This record gives sequence, structure tokens and C-alpha cells, in this order.
Amino acid sequence: MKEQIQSSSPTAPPTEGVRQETKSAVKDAFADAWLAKERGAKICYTYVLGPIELLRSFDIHLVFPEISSAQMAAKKTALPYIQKAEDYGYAADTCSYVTADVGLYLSDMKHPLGRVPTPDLVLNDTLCNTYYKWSEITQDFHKCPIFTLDHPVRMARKNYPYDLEALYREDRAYVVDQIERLIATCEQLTGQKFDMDRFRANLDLANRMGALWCEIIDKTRNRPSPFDAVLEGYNYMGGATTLKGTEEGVVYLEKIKGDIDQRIEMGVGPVPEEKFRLLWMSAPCYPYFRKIPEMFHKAGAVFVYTPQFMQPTRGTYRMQQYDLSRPLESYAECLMDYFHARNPRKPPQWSMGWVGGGGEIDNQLQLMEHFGADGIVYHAIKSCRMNSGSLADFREHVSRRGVSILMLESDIADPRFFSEAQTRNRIDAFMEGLAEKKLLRSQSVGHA
Amino acid sequence: MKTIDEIVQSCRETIEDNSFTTVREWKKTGSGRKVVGYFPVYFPVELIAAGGMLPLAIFGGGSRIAVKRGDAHMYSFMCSICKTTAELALGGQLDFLDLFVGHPICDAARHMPSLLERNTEGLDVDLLYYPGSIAADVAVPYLRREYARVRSLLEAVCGHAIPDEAIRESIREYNDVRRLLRELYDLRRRSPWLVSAVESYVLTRVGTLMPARDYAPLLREALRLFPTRDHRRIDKIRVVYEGAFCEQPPIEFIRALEEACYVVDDDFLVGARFLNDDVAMDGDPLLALAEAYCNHSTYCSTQHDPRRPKSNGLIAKCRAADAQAVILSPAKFCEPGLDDQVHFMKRAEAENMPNLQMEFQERMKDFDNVRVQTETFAEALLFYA
Ligand code: SF4
Ligand code: SF4
Repeated sequence: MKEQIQSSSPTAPPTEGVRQETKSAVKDAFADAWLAKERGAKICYTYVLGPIELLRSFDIHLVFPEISSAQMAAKKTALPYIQKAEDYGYAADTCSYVTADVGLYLSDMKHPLGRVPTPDLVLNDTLCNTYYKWSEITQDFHKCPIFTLDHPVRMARKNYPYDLEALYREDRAYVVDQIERLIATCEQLTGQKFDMDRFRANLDLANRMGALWCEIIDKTRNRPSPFDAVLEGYNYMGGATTLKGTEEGVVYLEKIKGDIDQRIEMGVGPVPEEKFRLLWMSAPCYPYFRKIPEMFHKAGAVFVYTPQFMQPTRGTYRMQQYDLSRPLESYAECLMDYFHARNPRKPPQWSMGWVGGGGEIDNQLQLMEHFGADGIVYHAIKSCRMNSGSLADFREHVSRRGVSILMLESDIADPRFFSEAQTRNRIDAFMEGLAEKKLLRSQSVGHA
Repeated sequence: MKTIDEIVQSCRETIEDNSFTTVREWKKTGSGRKVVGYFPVYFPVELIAAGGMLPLAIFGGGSRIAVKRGDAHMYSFMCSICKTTAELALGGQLDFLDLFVGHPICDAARHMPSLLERNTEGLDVDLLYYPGSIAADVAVPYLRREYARVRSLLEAVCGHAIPDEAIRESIREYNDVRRLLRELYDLRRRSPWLVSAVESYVLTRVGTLMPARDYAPLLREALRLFPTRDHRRIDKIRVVYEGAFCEQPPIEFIRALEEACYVVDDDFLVGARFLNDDVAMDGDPLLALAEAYCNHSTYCSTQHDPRRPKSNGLIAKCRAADAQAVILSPAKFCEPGLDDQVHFMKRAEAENMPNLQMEFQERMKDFDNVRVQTETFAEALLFYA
């Protein structure tokens, strides 16, 4: 984590406060989890877009397996864990977040940041199909129950031979039904009665965090961008997810916002002179978290957005808020609508290309325009079909629309799939191409 | 009257034809005939057939296709069935389909419908979303509703209503097919020297691209002929094969396994045999199909059912088949299969069930390794037995 949270550039103003906040948010979560287990609290493993606000209203302690694996990778400690899982039988093609986590199970739960408690419940959801397998694996190891919170996915079509609005209402009722069952499960697990006011208060905090987050991620529209969406953005996101639906989370994001505003005022960004602005698609390569963005920084390029920024809000910069007057329904809607354009009633936000059809391409072009970007970097993650499955197709379509695209390949947690020389060469070539394109464009503008 | 070998041979030619000649001909021979393609693992084919349309399982292009567009549009570490399905669609080989339905059964397959929508002008694409957990109380009513939506979708394709009565009739036909397939597998378990795994594979697969009413007589005839064969039992170990629930291995791969063992049960084309019992024919047919999917189906790596570890199903299958060992062999890059391979392996070890692990790919061409590994495994078992 240390690597991730250091300031990315000598040009940025001191950010020690925010760095420490992020560092302790994530690190404390590990220590807190163990202490919580010791004092008898129930431990729930849930994935990053799970129903955090609801679980928090029961004093259930949350452990995020993805953040745990990402931390291992960022600290360059994931490989021995992954290898342990491979020795146990897992294939190298399995999601490396999963194998890193299995390695943890096989290491007496000793994580580089502290001992991780075993789960009393695994809460699985529909964001990624690997979650289903991951939760089954966790159950095999820890013999804990699994609760699946399922939110149907609907495909965007040109016309609908069924009533889309009615379908949405029925799907929402299906999700609400499950939320109610989840509440009953949590009541049984903790012996604690569900407190709607407390849940509502958590939603209110989530709304405040969401609003702040949306402001923060839109600030990269400034020139120069005050922060790098990969190098700093993912750190902010890790902290915001860990603290989601809490007072600390609000304070944390306010500090980040203050820090960024200060940078904007000073006119400084991650690089001394911002020459190019790029979008980053898909998750980072955590084992080389710092190295890859820095290769871009050398050429004066800064990442201004990644669609994964929707993670802490379950929305986009066009985020929607929880409606506190109808908390369960509104919660169901946010689970259904977030992130993947699961709801074709709205324009695609970021769907990894599996429900939005052709709308995905327009969405990316809109993002380019909104953030004033010069190109897109697709990061194909070897062991994550979820993030990477459509990138090659996107490249075909988006590049046909005149956008400069670079496809990088590595992995989310496994350092063996990163070649520094190859990556550097590809980035250099891409940046040269972008520079040339920019020059040509400025010349043609000059002629006109 | 054809011999059983001739029947199997002609089915094999049909299933290996990437131009889907028999399907195209079926479509041409009647006016207004429609074909609905679906991606594995399972689809309630009864609904398609009830609309007078042909359900067609799209299992990719197998080993008989050069992948160019599939590679350009799909990322390298994707399973082969996704790539070859994309290759078929992008190359126009699925242009006769009136609708393609995909399912988000895994992270790879969830990209497929949208990818096809973007790249195949004129192909109508949608997805069927199965309940996340079939164990949940909400699963059956949800799926019933989803099937009703699929019915509307199909009605738009065939241009007329699909009444309950037509679905019940279709259920009757497919119950018949499922019973015959169970008989085929029973026969193979009892007398694997009379019907090989390759033969049962070919006969099962051909049913995924022809109408049930033509398929059932074919199966009946095969079941009549197999026992008349003058084949003798030989001394081979009995194994169950597990891993091909979605992408299918080449026939030569199955043959290579069979050189050393009797493959007495498997999960090839498991979608065609997904429902364990007859589907109820009275009452609401959509509810009956939903109920069968959630509560009377086989286990599968792409289905989440926390009521029963999948390995319970595998071990029960091995015991019922009196298998001495299990071959655990998922498709390359198939996350659900690869993850479950470990789950199955650990359980097999706990049950003292010898197991062999390997991977396959539908496009593999060299089977020497498969042969050698299986022979060595079988010899060791025979020796220790
Ligand atoms: S999104 Fe990718 S990295 Fe995350 S759990 Fe799913 S497969 Fe693994
Ligand atoms: S073979 Fe496996 S990874 Fe590929 S589509 Fe089927 S289930 Fe998914």
C-alpha cells in the first residue's frame, strides 16, 4: 500500500494528510477486523459493491476479499500466496484475486497487513460471475453460509417485445424480496433487530459520500488535472470503499476534496507539464501499480478518468442518490442500476460491454469528450475475463471512430504477466503516435 | 434400414457441419420457419419448439474453424467456445438465426450477447438471466417470470401467441427425449462395450439441432440397435469424465480417452440432460419448467446452489456408474470449470477416488498427450487393482 499512497509528483502540494488517511483507512480495517472477531462480532466477507450500508446497520464487521488481494499485490507479496493456491491445485488462469485469497486461507489467514478473521457469512452478488465461484471456494474452506444477493441483468435492445418498465418493477420487487431475506439472515446471525433508522442514516452518509465522490472525480476536467485517476484515484477509491456509509468516510472524502481544490488553485497536477490526457479502462495492474502510470507521466500524460470510479457510489459521475423515503426500494434500484448499465432504461454507464451493445461505444466517446481526453488505454487483465472480455472488440469499434487506443496486457495481482520492456516499448510508441497526431491536428487548425 | 454405425456416422456428419446445412434445409422446407439459437449450458427449448420454431444449441465451431475475427474481437485468455461462436456469427455463418439468446453464466459468456449485437447487423440478440442462487425461495417465481418474458420475446419472433397448451405439448415431447437420453446413458453405464462415449456424445449432440419429434424416433432406433451388437466386454477401467458442461472437446479427444478406459458417465452436453425427471405436464407450464430448473436439475459449474456441494453430485454419479476413477478435465480458460476442478479433486481424494486432471480445448489437434496420460493412469489403476 505504501507505494500506492505516496504522492505521485514533486509538483503536487503536500498531501501527507490524505495519504495518511488512506493508509490508515485500509490498514486499520485489517486490525479492526481481527479485534472485532475477538470481541465476538460477526464477520462477513463481501465484495466491493455489496450491500455495505445494510450490513453496517447490524454491526457486522466487513472484510473485502478483493481489497485484501489487491493489498497483497500492491505490496508485492501476492506471488507466494498465488503459488500456494497453485500448489493446492488452482490453475494459473483462475482469477488471481481468488488464488491470492486461497493462498491466504492456506497461510493460516496471515496477510501482510495483519491476520484476517474467518467469515461467519459470505455475501455474494452479481457483479462478477467469479464471485459465485469465489464464495463457493470460501465456503469449502471455512464452512460458512453464503447469501446471494442477485440483481438481474437486462440487455439493451432497439425495441422491446416486452414491457420494460413492468420488467424493471418486477425485478426491483425480486431484489427487495432478497434484501428483506438478507435482513432476516443478519438478524439471525447477530441476534440484533433491524433498525430502519440506522440503515437510513447509513444511506444518508453514503449519499453524502457519493456526492463528494462525484465532485472529486469530475475535478480531473480541470487543466492540468489535479490528480491521476489511476495512481491516486484508485487509492481514494480503496479508502472510500473501506469507509463506505460511515462518518469517517465523509470526512475522508472531504479531506481529499480539499487537497484537490488546493492543487487546482495552485495549478499543479501529477506531472510538471500536462501534455496528454488519457482514459484508463479496466482495473490496474496492482503489482506494478506505480510503475505503469509513471511510464505515461514521463511523456507528460495523465489519466483523467477510469469507469471504475463508479465503484464507491454505485453510479457514475451522473450518480443517483438513495431515496430515504423508500430505503429498501431505492437500495434495490441502486443495486440494479449501478456500474454495468444493468438497467437499459438509462444510457450505459460502464458495462464492460456485456449489456450495452453499441451504446457502449458512444458511452466511451462521451467520456472522451467530457474529460477532454486524447486517447484510451485498455488494460487487459489476464485472469479477469469480466474486465477484459470486450476490450478487443471495443478497440476495433472505438479506433474506427478515430480514437487512439493502446492495449496493455498484464494481470491484476499476478506479477508474472507483466513485461516491463514490452510495456515500456508499447507505451513509448503510443505516446509518439499521440504526439504526432496532436502536432498534425494543430497544424491543420493553423492552416484553417 | 440403416445400421447403428451408419446412424452414428450420419449424425456425426451433421454435428460437424459448421454450415448447419440440415438446419438451413429445415428452415427452407416450410414457410415462415424460424430458428432460435442459444448458447450453452441450458435453455428451456420447450418454449422455442412450442412456437413452431427450431431450437439450436450453438456450441461454437469446434476444431473445424480458423479463428480470425474471434481473435480480433475477443481477448486472448477467453475460452475457445466464445471465440469460435463469435467467429461463426461475425463470419455470417449464423445469418439464418432469427434470434440468438445468451446467458451470463460466466464472465466470458456474459460478453457474448453484446459483442454479437455490436458486430452482426440484423441478428436479433437477447439474454436469459437465470436466478443467481437456485436455492433461494425467490428463485422459482423469479424464473417463472423470466420464462414469461422469454415467451414474449419468442412470440415476437414467430409472430403468434405461444399458448400454455402448446408448451405442455412441447414438454411432453422433450420429456420423451430426456427419457430416451437417460436410457442411452443407462445402457452405457451397464454395458459400455455396446455403446461408446463417442457414440452417445454424437447421438446426444445431434438432438441439439433437430426437432424433438424427429429426434425421438432416431434415439429409439439407436437404443434398439445398440444391444444387438456383437461387442464383447474387455478389461478396461471404468471412469467418469467431468468438465465439458459448456465447451465440448473434440471427438478425437473422447476417443483417445476411450482407448484406455470405459468412460461410463460424463457431463458432455449436460444442458440436453439438465433436468433429472419429467417436467410436470399439468398446471402452469412455465412454473413447471422453472421448478424443474431450480429443484430437479443436475449440478453444474455455472449454477450456484449452496444447498448441495457440486461434488455430492459428482460422487453420486461415480457411485451410480460403478466408476473406479474420475477424469477431471475442464476447458482451457474456463473459470467455472477450473475452479470446480479443485473442489472435485479434493472431494475425490477424500473419498479415495483416484482422479486424473487435464485440460482440453475444442480446437486442440494433438491427442497423443491425452492418450499417454490416460493410458498411464489406467495402467496404474489396473496394476494396483
Ligand atoms: S472482476 Fe475480475 S478480478 Fe474481480 S473477482 Fe471478478 S474476475 Fe476476479
Ligand atoms: S466454457 Fe466455461 S468459460 Fe467458456 S463460456 Fe462456457 S462456462 Fe464460460
